[in-house]
Amino acid sequence: MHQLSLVFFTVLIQASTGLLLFSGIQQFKTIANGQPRIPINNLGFQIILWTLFTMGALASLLHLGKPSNALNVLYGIQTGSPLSLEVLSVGVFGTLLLIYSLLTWKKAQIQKYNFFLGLTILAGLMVSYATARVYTLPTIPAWNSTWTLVQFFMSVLALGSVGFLFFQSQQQEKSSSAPQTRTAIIILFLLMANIVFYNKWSNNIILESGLALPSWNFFIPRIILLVTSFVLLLFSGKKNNYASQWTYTLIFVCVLASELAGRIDFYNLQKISGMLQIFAY
Amino acid sequence: MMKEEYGFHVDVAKCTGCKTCQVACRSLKESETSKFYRRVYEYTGGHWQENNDKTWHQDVFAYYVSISCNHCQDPICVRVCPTTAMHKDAETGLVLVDHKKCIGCRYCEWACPYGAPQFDPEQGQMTKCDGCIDRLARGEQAMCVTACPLRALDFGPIAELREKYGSVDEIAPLPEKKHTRPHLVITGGRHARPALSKDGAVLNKKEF
Repeated sequence: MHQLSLVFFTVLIQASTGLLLFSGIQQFKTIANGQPRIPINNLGFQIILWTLFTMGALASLLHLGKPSNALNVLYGIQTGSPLSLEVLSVGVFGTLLLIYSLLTWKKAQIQKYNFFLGLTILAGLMVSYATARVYTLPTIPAWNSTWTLVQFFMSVLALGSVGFLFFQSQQQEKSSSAPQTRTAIIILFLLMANIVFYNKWSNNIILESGLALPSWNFFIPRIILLVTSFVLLLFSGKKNNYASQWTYTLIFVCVLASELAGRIDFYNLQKISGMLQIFAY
Repeated sequence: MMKEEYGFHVDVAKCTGCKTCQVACRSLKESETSKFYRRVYEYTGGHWQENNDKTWHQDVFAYYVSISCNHCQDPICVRVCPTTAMHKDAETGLVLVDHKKCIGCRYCEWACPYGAPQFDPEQGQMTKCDGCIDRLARGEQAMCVTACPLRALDFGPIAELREKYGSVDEIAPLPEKKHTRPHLVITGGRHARPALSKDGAVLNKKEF
């Protein structure tokens, strides 16, 4: 599967966007109360965020047959190539993220940079939108749908919400995370519902194409991983206190694995397209 | 403004599926790539059914469609290319790859419904039919057309081809024309099925 690097690229960049989104919301909410308990310029948070972003960005380069020509993607900005615009959006997001990280580095009061933080989050969300545009090709019916956009944003929300809980759990400070846990529970529920409906929709396309498509191999594993995470979150929420680090680490790993598997299924659907159907299987 | 827009004519009624076009193209481009720029699809279908009087009737059919790049009017590979490496030649309208620009992202491969751009792992870049543009400059025909022993292929300005052979440009197992407007004219045989038909299947998939 030659798109494996793109699976990692899209999922990891969306994870970093989601993580920044949920941490940002936490930070905006604490404006009135002064400094957030765990600020975004916390070293641990920065390490997790930059690891996700850097690994995602590097994975995208692995997809290129001729990486030495990579800068040529700038030519496509003028012609409006969705791929060029996606690369541009990743560049803008990365640059804003770097500037924000440098501005707030080791500073005690970071609230004054909240506007810049909001701008960076917006740039991250634009990456997911630009990525969805890359795949909504009229010649690939299984991609040419609003489902593509919905899936990508669900990944942002799911990975962001559980990623934030995972990050919080890495901190020494024991504090209640009940509201965040409730949010993550709702998002995971919506994600599971989304997967079921999307599966039904895409199976119709597979049937229409008349192909014996070995897609959705990961449907059952995905649901198992998400149900596991869901139950663990419910358990954590019930206790109304801070669950163990390991619990949140397991939840994050399960949701991440589920999203990676889902993205593999997504790329498999590309084969229902014109003459590619002939060579697919 | 293009001076001419070139395209292909395929006469399905004449084609016997000998694949001389495919082999000739491959031989000419051997130093360039290991890919088949032109492919001959064997499309067959139909059934045998028993009548009430215990006799049988059948509607079995088979035909061959020889296809390479259609050098479309509105090529989606050119539209989506992030580097502008995929472009239409100003003189001939042929869709070409500029290997100085191509990054091998394979986006054109995804987008093209005809599977014309193909990724060459050795080069790390896309390759495709160039309409034998160098032969064209010397006043020669495309190699596949020259090689066809049945004279089932033709290549030239698409306006002339349409005038000569008509305007049919979609047939099973090819996709619908609406996304790219191919510079292709097809003379279908009596068995020819419309694009997106589920009557038959391509039987020689493993050849490619």
